[in-house]
Amino acid sequence: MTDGPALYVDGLSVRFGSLRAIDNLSLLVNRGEIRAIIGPNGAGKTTLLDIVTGKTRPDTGTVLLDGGLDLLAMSEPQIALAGVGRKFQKPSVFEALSVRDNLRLALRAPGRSIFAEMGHRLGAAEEARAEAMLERIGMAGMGARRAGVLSHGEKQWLEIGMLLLQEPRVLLLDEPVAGMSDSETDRTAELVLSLRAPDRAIVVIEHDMSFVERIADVVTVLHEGRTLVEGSMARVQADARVRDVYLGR
Amino acid sequence: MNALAPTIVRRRGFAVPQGLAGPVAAVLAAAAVAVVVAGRTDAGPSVYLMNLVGQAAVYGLLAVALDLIWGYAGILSLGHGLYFAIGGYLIAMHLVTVAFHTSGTPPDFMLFMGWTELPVYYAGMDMLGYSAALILLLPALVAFLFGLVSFRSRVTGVYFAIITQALVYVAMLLFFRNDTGFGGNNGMTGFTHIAGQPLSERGTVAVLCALSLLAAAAALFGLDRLVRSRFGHMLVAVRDDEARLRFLGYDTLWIKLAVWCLSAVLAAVAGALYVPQVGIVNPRVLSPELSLEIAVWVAIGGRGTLVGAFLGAVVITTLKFLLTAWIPVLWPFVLSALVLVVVITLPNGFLDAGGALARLRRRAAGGEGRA
Repeated sequence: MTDGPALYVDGLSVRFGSLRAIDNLSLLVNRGEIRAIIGPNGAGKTTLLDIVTGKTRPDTGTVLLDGGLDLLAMSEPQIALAGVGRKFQKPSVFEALSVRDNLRLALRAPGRSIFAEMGHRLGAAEEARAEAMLERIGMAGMGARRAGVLSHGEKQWLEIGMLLLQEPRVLLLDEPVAGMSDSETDRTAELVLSLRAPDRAIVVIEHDMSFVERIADVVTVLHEGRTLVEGSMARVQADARVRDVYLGR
Repeated sequence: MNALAPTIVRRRGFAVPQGLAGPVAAVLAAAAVAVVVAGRTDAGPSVYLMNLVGQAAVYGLLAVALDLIWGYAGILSLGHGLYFAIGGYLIAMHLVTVAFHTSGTPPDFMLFMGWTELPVYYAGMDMLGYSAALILLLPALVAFLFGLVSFRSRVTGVYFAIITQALVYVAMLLFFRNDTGFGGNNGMTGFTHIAGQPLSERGTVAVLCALSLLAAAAALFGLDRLVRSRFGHMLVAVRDDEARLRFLGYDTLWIKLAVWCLSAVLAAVAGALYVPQVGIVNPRVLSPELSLEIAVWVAIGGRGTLVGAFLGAVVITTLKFLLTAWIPVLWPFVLSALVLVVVITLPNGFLDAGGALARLRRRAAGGEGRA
């Protein structure tokens, strides 16, 4: 693996009809960093995640993982196996399965083909990893509970736990605290901060500014598919253009 | 709480009995043994009754095949009659070839088409082993090709269901033609022997009935284990949130194709067991009505329960048999009423009756009102 930035995005553009969702966007996210991407609705935040994870194909541009792996040439499952984890905006867990079975499904070994995975039986080491993750996301003792009956916050944590089991090198979190109570938001901030690792980049899309302030090293403000401002939270908050964009002119 | 089931699992707010597949499979297997024994004597059930039981078991197997893809993987097929028909037509091809070779009596379609030889694709169909291999391979191949095209294009839900229905309808139109060598609208009949045994004999009827019961038992037992395995969890994950599973690194295309082909093969096995017992196959098995009825059995019995689907098929086909013999005009109304009652009061099928009663009692006791 080459030593490049965890995520390298250059000259990215995508149009939906006449709408320029992403307009010649460039972005660098380094390992060990927590990057927040903020911006008003329609700024292109979720579209950016869709492109990085293979859901949407851009018209032009480059997206590289670790400076070398061309994500635009890969399918969604391949990108996930390459080490890009994505948490969806709405909590996405498998509701009919137990919490433990959700975590077990997340134990998808990149070395196993999909066919090997279909016939795979989890070994003791894998079971232990699932159990340890239950503990880590604060849901020890809830393993047998059906995921569908969990609270909103618990579902979000479970989904983050599933992603962590995949040991992603780039973790993309789409509005992880939307709809959470204050105490749930606090707990999520602690969880996200604990995910910081020297070889992992974390990208968070969020509207909650106090949450962003707590967790982000660098903030990127997107507007109409382009980077408006990039820097520390203090710098971004002081920027007149950012205020214009959020308040409208 | 509930005398029916060892455990109750709350699923989507409804209580569905689990762990019934094993006991039901055991009962079916025991019945199969009893039927074979009875078939060797003149005592016990009549040939007529054994024939009916065999047919009901086959319908149950067909329902279980649909429940596997619909109830677990969330893929609704309204054209599963296609795979049932492939199995049925293949065994019919085998049976008419055998009848032609042993007695010299040509099948009807050769007479009215003025043919003296069977079409070339009947070559080798006199061998039961070859025919049986085709019954397993051909539906898998058809399902694979159709599934590959549909799932790759990410056709899902109601759109997928409509395409399956269209496909079975196209197949019906094709099989109504007389020049295809499959008997046209009259279908194929005049079967005499299977595996060297005369089809009219009591012992043969008993064995066919027992095989149907055993096939249903094996499907219930095997699929119950399958759906509780890691692969089974993948199926449920595809149903609940396919995108999430894909972003976890699973190429869901292959998961869906695998279960889709397995379901098609099970439906074909059901068809191959059905046709020798009714003595005829015709394009009616390809009618959209049959394919819709399979979905009705599963919905009434309970999706995602296997046993519910099996019982749904057995109960509904038995009711249909009794009522159509008694007052034929009444049947569509009874079926419609049943569907409405189940949809409104038992959304999880009649296997959820215990859960529905419990909810009613809670409501009557002034509980939370809604479950």
